[in-house]
Amino acid sequence: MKLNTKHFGEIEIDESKILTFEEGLPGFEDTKRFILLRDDKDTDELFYWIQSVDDEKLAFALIDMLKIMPDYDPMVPIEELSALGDFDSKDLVNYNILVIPDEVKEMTANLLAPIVINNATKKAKQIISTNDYDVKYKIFDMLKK
Amino acid sequence: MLALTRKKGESIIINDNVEVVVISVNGDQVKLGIVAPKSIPVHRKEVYELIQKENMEAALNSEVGKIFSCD
Repeated sequence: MKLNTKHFGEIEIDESKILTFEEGLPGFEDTKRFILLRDDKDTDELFYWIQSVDDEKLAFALIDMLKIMPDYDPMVPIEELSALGDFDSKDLVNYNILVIPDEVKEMTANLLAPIVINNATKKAKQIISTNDYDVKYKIFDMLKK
Repeated sequence: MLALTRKKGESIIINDNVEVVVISVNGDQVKLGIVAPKSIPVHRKEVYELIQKENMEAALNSEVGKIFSCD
């Protein structure tokens, strides 16, 4: 299907790849369907986007934190993972939502509540981890390494 | 909103399966214990609100190009 996106204009998406957030995201509880996108220019596969399928103006920038912080290891309650359907740990991926202000050096990642995706069921959820991670973790200096 | 008065050590039951116990009261701080089935995530309201606020801010990110021009 064709989809209008916030950052990439009109694109063709594979409907079977649509992710379902059954509870939406905190603050966007009614928005349940997203598609994961990546910019081809990002050859490091560091940045991703989740674009709402139902609201073209809604998209979140994500980062694959493990690429810049290998010891990032959010603990999430097993019951919350179970909400994503049967899972095999190889099917689970997690990304962190970025806030990119006008002063880009101030960009932060939300390490406290990663987006967890079960690639087998295409169910996803933003889960509040039980670690003491920062909700506004500055990452700009880590990107230059 | 339902308002209930409880003393230290007393509890309330919500929806037959969630018990909230008043563990201690110290000035304006109340420590609560929550006994809930594993399937019900218990988050402090302020943590959930913090994530809500962060997501709303993240949804305002304007330019995709910004994150690729920081080298």
